[in-house]
Amino acid sequence: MKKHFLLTAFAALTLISCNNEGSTTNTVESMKTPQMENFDKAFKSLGDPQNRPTEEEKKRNTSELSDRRKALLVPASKELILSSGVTEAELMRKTGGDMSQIIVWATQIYMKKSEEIRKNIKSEK
Amino acid sequence: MKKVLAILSLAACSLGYAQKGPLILNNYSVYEFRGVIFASNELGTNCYPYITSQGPDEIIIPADSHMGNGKALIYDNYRDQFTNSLYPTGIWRVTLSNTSSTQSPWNAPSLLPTGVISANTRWSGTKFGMFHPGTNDGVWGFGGPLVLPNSCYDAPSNITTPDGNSAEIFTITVDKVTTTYIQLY
Repeated sequence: MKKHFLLTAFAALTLISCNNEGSTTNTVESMKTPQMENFDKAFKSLGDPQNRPTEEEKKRNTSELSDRRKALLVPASKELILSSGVTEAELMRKTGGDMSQIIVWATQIYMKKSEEIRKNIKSEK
Repeated sequence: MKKVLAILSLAACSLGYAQKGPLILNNYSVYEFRGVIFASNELGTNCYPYITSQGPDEIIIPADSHMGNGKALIYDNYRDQFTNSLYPTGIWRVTLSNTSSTQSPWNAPSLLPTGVISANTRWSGTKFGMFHPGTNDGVWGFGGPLVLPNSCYDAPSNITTPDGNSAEIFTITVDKVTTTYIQLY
């Protein structure tokens, strides 16, 4: 009887442990900071009807994302940079307020943070 | 994990490298992307050389694959994408003129990031179709060529379908590093 009980307990523990494993692999997205989520949303929002290229922008004949649309990415980019411990003054000094520099810097931080999250999840296992 | 690290370190030192920067493809749509991507030289006659992904025949990127969930296609250059990317291209078609077109493996010496071809080409477009995941049912109007302006191809840099899906290609440039984005919404 005791043996059965132990076996059942062991099986239950195994199940719980496997369950946890499943849930940790699913937390990559849930472990993202709000700033990272907003950065994702900003990039995706470029496809919203009001944010798509205007007729005028289509005629520009240049590859570069228009300033109007870059500006849609800047608030979330700034937020993300500041959340990494950089001060507003530093941000302005390093980028001179240039939108492309702010976006690219934020992208680098984003990728680094995603990587850290992935690493943490792996080491927890 | 190693992949992303490698991508990061590559991005960090890509300033001195050719190809002028990475290509990032974000598929935010509920459809599967199937297509090729290419690069070309707008300063050359008829944009030669141009480089097209050819092995696999089609790069397949599942629905909802983007930076936000770590499933975006990210290519740093013709070579390193093979080891760093989730969607490796093993074979490139290299067209130097209308009489010279050859297949090159990803690690061909001619395609090195520091080589002449890399130095003189940039990511410039895609030819693709969108499909209902796992089927051969294409999504009407959601596909075609998509190229950067001035790339010798007469094709748009963005499209919108009657059903409200859209696709576009654009760049974000800082100094000498150009990041090229292909986005499907």
